[in-house]
Amino acid sequence: MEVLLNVYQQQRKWMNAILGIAIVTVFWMFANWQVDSELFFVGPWRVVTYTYGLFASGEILDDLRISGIEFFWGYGVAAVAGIGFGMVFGISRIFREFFDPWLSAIYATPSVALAPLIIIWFGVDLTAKIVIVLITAVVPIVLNTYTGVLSVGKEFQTLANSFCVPQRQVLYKILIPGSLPYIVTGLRLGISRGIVGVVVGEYFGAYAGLGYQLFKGLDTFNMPLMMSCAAMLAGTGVVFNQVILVIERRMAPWRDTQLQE
Amino acid sequence: MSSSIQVEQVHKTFMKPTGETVHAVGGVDMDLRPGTFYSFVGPSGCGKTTLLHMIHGLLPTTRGRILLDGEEVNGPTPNKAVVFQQALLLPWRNVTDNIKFGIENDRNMSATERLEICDKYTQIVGLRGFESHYPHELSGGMQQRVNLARALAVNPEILLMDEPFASLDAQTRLLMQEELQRMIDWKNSGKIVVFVTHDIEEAVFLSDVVFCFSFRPGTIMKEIKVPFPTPRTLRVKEEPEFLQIKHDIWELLADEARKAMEE
Ligand SMILES: Nc1ncnc2c1ncn2[C@@H]1O[C@H](COP(=O)(O)OP(=O)(O)OP(=O)(O)O)[C@@H](O)[C@H]1O
Ligand SMILES: [Mg+2]
Repeated sequence: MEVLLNVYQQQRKWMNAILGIAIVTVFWMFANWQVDSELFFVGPWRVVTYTYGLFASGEILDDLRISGIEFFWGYGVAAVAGIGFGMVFGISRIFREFFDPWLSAIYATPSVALAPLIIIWFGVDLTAKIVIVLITAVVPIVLNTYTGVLSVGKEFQTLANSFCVPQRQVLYKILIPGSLPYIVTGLRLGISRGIVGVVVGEYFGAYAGLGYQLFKGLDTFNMPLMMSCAAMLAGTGVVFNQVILVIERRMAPWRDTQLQE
Repeated sequence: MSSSIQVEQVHKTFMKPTGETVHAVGGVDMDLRPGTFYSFVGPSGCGKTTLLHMIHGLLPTTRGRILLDGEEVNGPTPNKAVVFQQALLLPWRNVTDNIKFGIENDRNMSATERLEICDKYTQIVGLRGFESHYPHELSGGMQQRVNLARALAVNPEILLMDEPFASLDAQTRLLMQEELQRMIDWKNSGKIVVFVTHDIEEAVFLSDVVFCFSFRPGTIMKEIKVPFPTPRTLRVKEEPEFLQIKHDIWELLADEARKAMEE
């Protein structure tokens, strides 16, 4: 017993995560036993086997590839442009004064509302989806980078000024490292918004993709397919989030706080 | 190599966002000569930091002017360096890289020379073994010593120090007082040192000249020359003349401190 407790103390974080998964799975199984109709609900085991089947037959691979391309291009451009614009917003007061209202407007607009317009402008092929992912993911990245730059204490600029550090070096010696925690938050929020963008984009017309399969499941009363797609989308979000956290830990060893969240 | 500084009728008034004004410095004149160690003592809030920052060119004067070698100061230059009152270390840099901050842009120095300098000052401030520690892993006193090393590494002609020893323990503080004299060697190098402190004994011990400031708006009440030859050893603190000077300054400042408390 004591040994078990010790192991629990040491691996606490993992153990608790696993316990959490177990608790939800039990509820899920119970709910499934209660509903007992594959039209409405399927159990966890069925989702696993169904997903395995999708991979084994290879029929989902093309959808994964398409959604992956949409996400990576859209999110990639969003990350670069978002950090870039966020920096400009944070640094330039003029720029801020001119475009802050626009940023707020874009922030307040649900991206779903823009998706139909973009489909009309860009057609139903990949470009439209990439653009939708881009505009959904870019907003939190811009906003967080922007807030991050403003959060860097004035005193650090005074410090740089005091040691005669040229203005352009202030960008990478002070502003970027100082706002890194905010940039990471923006990138993490951008991931979940980008995944929403993929699904929304594929809803308005597509020939393949995880979102497309999800809605096909809806049309064909295929509950296992829908839940399997939803699970894959959720899993992707979790994995990408972890990837960003690991990168941050590598890049920012001075931040000890995020190790125990 | 040796520069001099004239402070002529300098005033500083701060305007708060609320529209309220604070008259921090109220007409200061000083003539700072090369090879001299100056201290500023005075009640809290009397404008010592403000004046120090104006001498470096970090803040503009409201009235009056500050001349460095006859030319008006209008911004920081590499021949001056500040030890800030708050340590102001970059959290994303370790000890070595923080110390390096001021010499990174010195084109006349190779990377190895820079590292040697960092190494030397890490040793001098007693942080050997902590080179790769980040600021959050250091105590307040250790952070303050990195702050000191960062300014010393620049080897400036004019060294402006704002309570550099404030967060050190009493023993380290005494050792650093002795060490500082050897480190800067202002008599031979012709440097100007300005040292802000609340510790009157420390001011008298280190300085050639002590400026005593009045309460806000800060003005110089008295300029006191300390006659002992430098470098000094801690034993000088027991000499009757030393105690007399210390006592005089104490008397002078007590009234001002009372005014500051009443405010
Ligand atoms: N940026 C600012 N805006 C408004 N008021 C300021 C500003 N900086 C300083 N002051 C005011 O100017 C006065 C002098 O401040 P300063 O920091 O120079 O004092 P000090 O003599 O260094 O005090 P201490 O010994 O406590 O460090 C204070 O009353 C302070 O409130
Ligand atoms: Mg001060």
